[in-house]
Amino acid sequence: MRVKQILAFFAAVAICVPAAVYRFKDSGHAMGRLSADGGHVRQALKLDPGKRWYVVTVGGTVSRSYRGDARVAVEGRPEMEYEIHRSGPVLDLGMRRAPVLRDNVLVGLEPRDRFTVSVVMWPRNADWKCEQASAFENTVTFRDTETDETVLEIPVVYQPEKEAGDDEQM
Amino acid sequence: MMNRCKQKPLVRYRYAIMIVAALLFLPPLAFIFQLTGNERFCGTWCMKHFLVWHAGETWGAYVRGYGRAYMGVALLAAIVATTFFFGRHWCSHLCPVGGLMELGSRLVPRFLKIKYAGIPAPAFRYGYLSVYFLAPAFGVGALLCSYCNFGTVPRLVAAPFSGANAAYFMRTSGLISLGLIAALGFFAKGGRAYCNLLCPIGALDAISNFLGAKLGRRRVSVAPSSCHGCGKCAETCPVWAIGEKDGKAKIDQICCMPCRQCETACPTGAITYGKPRT
Repeated sequence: MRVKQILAFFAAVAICVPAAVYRFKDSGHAMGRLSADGGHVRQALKLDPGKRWYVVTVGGTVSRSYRGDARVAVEGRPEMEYEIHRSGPVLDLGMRRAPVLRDNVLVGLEPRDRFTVSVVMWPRNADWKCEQASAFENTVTFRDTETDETVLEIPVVYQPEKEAGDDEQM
Repeated sequence: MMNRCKQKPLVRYRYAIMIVAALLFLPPLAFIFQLTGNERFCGTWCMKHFLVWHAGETWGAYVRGYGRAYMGVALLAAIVATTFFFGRHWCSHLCPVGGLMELGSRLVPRFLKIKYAGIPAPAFRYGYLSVYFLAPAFGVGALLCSYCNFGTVPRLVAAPFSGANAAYFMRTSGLISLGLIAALGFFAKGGRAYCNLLCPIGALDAISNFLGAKLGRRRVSVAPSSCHGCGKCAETCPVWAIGEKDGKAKIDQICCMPCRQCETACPTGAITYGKPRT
């Protein structure tokens, strides 16, 4: 019985260590602070090149200096088709005010608001090659709709697996 | 079989309590989270992330993590404390994640159910928990959010209504999490294999349960003098916590949660919840 327990323990370790070490880089999660001076992001999103699509989650808070509407877009190369979805309650009971997403615009951002958007994006040209990956960089960009100034920009870089480090992406 | 009208409310209304808990914590209503401006067990409500120390993290940053997740800290402390005194009622009655998997498994035909009872659950669970804590501490990676059951199950419920939640299952790690929830939850006999093998909250809670049992707190226990060793209790236990010793049922408190299905199944009334009997 004890042997079986020891085997189960090490089986769990053997399964979980690779699961902890390996990152599937078809998705990523970045946190940032949206502000009138261009915003701040903790880290770039690092993805594998050559995937058919990517799912990126961007969360953040609005700084005290900003109030307005922000358009969310995927910019840079390769050219991406994308869909933006806002995370929020399914049945909104209206207990807390929150910005809404309308035509890819986060409407009604106010200081200290929190927001999360999911971006599903896929390259317009499906043939982009892995070896070209380092030449490409996208950004998930939030622009103020009135001034068109950037209020938050999350870089998305494409690294072939051998180049990628062990940077943590939640 | 125990007469239904003699059952205690916590036994008789367990599924009703689980459904209410699901409404409180899970979409589409997620009442508690809407009240606090959250969406699920993430951010201020995360019960797991603050516990893990990452290589290179300063102690100040580690402590600040507790502040950021203050709701999760309070909830986890409440769960562990109540478990010590009264048993794992969070797991058996209130946890929306385990509850939904168990309720979902009731809808799956019996011939499709997978039996995991052959796996020594505590050994596997603490192997998993070791990696959960040590991998980030040694900087080799992390299990944390990528395979979080408290993230996956609410998203699964919300996915038909919300593109953001559906998008979670378009990522490879989201699909793996879904597979785990299906194989170890919905298709598992009893619906609780995920809770018993992979839930870090369940693993911490089980330690509290075990310590409380050692100190004579209220638990589900067997009166050996009344037990005939028929094995009906072991057959109904969703967390395969009941074994046999000297021809009598024996409950392993590191696995047991007080769902009390064994109490209902016992033909002689040998199993009860309360102070341990001899």
